[in-house]
Amino acid sequence: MRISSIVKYCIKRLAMAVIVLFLVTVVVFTAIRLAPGDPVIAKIGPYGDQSQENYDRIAASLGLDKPIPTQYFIWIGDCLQGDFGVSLRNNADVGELIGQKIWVSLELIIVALLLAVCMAIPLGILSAIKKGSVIDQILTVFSSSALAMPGFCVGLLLIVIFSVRLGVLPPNGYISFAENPKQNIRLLVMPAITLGLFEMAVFTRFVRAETIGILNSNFIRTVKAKGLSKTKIYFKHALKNTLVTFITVIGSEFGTLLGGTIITEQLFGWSGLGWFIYQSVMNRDYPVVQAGVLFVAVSFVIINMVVDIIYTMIDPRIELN
Amino acid sequence: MKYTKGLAAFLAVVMITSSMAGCGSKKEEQTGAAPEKQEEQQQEVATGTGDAKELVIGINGDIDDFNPQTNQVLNFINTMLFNCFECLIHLDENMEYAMDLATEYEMVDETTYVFKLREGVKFHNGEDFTAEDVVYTFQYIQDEANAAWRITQYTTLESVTADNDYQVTFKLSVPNPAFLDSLAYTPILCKSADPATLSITPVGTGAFQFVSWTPNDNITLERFADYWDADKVSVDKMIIKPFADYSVAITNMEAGTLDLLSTLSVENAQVIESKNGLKVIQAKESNKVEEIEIGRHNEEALRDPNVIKAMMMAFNADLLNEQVYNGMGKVATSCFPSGVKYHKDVYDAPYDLEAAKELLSTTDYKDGFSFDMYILTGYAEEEKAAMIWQADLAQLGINMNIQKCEFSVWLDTYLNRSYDMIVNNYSMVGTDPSTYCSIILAQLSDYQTADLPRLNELVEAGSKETDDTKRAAIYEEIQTIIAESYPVFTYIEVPQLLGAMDRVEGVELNNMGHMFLKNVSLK
Amino acid sequence: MKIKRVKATTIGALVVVFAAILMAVVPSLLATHDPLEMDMVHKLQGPSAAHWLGTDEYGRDLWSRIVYGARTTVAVGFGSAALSALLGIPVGLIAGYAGGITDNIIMRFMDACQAFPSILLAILVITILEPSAVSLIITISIVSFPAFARIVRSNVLSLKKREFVEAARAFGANRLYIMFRTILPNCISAITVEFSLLAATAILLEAGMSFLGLGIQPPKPAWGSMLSYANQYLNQSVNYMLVPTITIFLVVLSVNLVGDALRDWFDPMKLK
Repeated sequence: MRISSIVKYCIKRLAMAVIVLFLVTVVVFTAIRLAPGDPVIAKIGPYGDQSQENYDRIAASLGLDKPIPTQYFIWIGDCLQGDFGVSLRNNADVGELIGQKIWVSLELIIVALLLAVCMAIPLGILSAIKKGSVIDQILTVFSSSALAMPGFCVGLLLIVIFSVRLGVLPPNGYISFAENPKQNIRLLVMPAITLGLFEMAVFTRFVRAETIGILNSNFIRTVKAKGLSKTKIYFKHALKNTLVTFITVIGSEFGTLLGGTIITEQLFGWSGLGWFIYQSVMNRDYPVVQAGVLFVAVSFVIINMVVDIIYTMIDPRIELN
Repeated sequence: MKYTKGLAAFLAVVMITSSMAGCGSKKEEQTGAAPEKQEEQQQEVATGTGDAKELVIGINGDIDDFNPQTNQVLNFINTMLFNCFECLIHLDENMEYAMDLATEYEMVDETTYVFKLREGVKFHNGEDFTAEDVVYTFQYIQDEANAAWRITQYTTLESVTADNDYQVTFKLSVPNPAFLDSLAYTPILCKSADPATLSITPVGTGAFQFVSWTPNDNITLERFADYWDADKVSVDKMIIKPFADYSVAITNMEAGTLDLLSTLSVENAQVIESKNGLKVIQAKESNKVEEIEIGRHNEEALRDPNVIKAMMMAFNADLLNEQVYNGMGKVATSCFPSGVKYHKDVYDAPYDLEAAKELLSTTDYKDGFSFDMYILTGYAEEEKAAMIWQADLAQLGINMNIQKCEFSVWLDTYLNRSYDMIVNNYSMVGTDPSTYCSIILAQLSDYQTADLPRLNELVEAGSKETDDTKRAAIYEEIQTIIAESYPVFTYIEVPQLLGAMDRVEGVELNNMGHMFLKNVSLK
Repeated sequence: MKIKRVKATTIGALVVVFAAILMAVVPSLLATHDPLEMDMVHKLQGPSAAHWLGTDEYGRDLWSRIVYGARTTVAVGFGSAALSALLGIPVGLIAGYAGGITDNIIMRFMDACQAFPSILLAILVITILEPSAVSLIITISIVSFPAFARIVRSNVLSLKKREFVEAARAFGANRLYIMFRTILPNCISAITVEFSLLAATAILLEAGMSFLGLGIQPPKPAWGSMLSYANQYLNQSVNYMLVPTITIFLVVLSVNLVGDALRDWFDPMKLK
């Protein structure tokens, strides 16, 4: 009974996901072409041959001479067969380029989120249990402050302190873990902290509010009436509920970060997906932008779906749909 | 209340750490021991991967096209063109022709050049370099399908023939005084390398061989073992890294993870000069000019010689040079840089706001007008020139709307000539003004200078004339016409600068900003 | 009912928000200099009697630029929050109230808008519109109105089964009346809280976009663009960097704190 309803739900969600992805591809495909700045002209460059014939020839060689709907269907057809096209700038395979970048971004995001989660759960709960105390107030000020700082200011501060003043961490760059594990971690520290600090603030506030909500619920009040300590009850019965709701928040933050860490990546030269897509938007490298955004959207949709399903499976009180 | 105190404490921490950061730039004041400690740390940070001698070069944007015949971006030309590839000849620090793949050349007559080629040279793919490769290179450039940008510079090249394995003859249809200058930055391709992959796997004869490109991260080249001049090369690896933000790049240099910083602005050069362990390398002279191209065809007011003159009188070039270029620039006196042949001081609109107001009041535009000025994101000095001018023009009642745009948009605007004004910079190749005229001025002939037929005739005539006195007369007249109607306004000559760590020696930098790195040593 | 005690921090936050709004409304009363007046000789100076907060790279007065910059920044912050509300409220109301296929279609569009990171969407939109304050407002609104719509929708979903709505329906009130006059007033707490959060996010997003070179056109002052210019002079003047950083920090923090206070005020049970 339960399993079949989950299957049904999944199918429904999948159908919706396909519609959403279709909309995303259409939006991106059109948007990037609406933006002023022509990749054909960029290819010719300021000192190249400016004749119309040369323009037409290059446009044709890039496949940009056809009407936009035709281009769209050619592209989406190729994508469905796993061919994401080649970069307009240098003919490099787009699938391969994006593939390289995904792992780079994932490493940063996962470490930052782990950092944030590990800090946020104890701090959030502590803050809720000791609500109104000095600790709670310090933590609240801290998380509110972290949310109010533009991300790159935090990053710059870290660079100035740890790279320039203390000279203990390299300020910029990326080396894969396989190539040089030690250097990889040294390079990861600052971007992960920059990103993690913000996420930690978001999470701490969430865990705190959620915990306070549960501590004030009728359930806990009833049990408390029986003479048990509030905190004990919380850890015994209610912690699970907090964590279950927490998963959805982590999931949606994860989706937002994938491709959304542009500023941090650029600041620290951590050459991940977000920065790469951004650069490709600036270069009007249509195939890279399209494939990059498609990948991000697919991941986002899948993550949210999985999170929702896990959520409902862990917590039987919540109805599917 | 406690809450507010907490906030105050946090702010105090922010301010203290930041002011600590502020002290960093005043290293001279520190005790002798401190810099040493810093160096040790730099060493530690720098040596990530063993003893190989790595030269790390910072540039201001990623390179994503390694085909030297299609990529015209300075980042690529300055760093890779002469180190991964080589030309027959190049212009050295003193702007004299130095031999690379050629060993000698002879100008047989006005339209015939014979080059003797270097023997025993190998391409990175192991092939031997012969005259056939030179022939192939020019066939490649002249084939329209390849969209090589130098095609416009070789329209008069009639034929290239291999006389034997190590001699080629170039035949021109008409004399071209700038021919050698063009050759001096035309890299030679390998005829057996696949042209389809040229953009991602470049094959040249240079001292450094392309290894890999990780987009937005690095371009790695390594020492080419079979390089013909291998004895001179001491650097094992050359890594090029893009930096979106030069203040971050400079902190990298301070931390010891970046050796050279290309296309450096004067402002950043000042910063680098103030740091311990860093230095600035400057070319002897500079062929680089900052210029504003003026859309006379789009805005009627700009075609009125008195209006444009009044505007020029509101351009405070001296202030710009003093305050923005720290006196390292040279206020332009003509559209050609002063180091170029036939240069003549022709500008006669010195900064004088009162006189400018008076002159403007005699025109139809005494109440002022509005126009758009396009500038490119990321060029702080160009932006400042526009901003300073904007403030002065406002006093004349002329309203400049600054449109700061990213490269794609800037380029579209520039090539469609849809601007009222646009800031551009240009490094003139060689010492002959004809390349500048054919690249910048000739392209304006359908737009900005359409109403100046005399100018267009002179540009055409200058590119073919070989008699020196006649050429001098032609180029003088070109400069005079430009100083009257201002289709372009060159406002300053800018120094060619590199930032470097003290340990880097032997970098050769010519007036165009091209870097030659084969003699570089790392202490 | 006891009158609630207002926290000192909330008062502080209100003062900061009020000051920012005051700067935006009557900058000429507060500024000491023309924000565009250059004085190249006195560039990048620290605080002094003549320039309270020092000067920027053109020798312009930082205090006056902060004051005049408030106009742009507050306009971007509150303007985009207002525009998001204007777009998000009707969409959320319709989706929530109509339900069924209408709801489904609308929400799939919202999903599509939210299926990629806001900064990425913002970059796409701003490259089409070309950078300016108005473009920023439109961009940020496009990016954030789906969140608004969602919150209104979920409120509507829980409200529409309530007795007073049923009653209005029984009296024969038409759909528009029910949506805008009966349901909407009851969503006001959620809307106000979301509004303040969005205004704060918008100010940070303006800073982020300026950092990427997609902010407003010079020479107009705005806090985010001041910050991104100051970033280039980090090595020469830390003061220049600190002034907009602290301003943005204080204002965003205050707007968030006001939002928190509003939530507590509207929803005393939840955070008590």
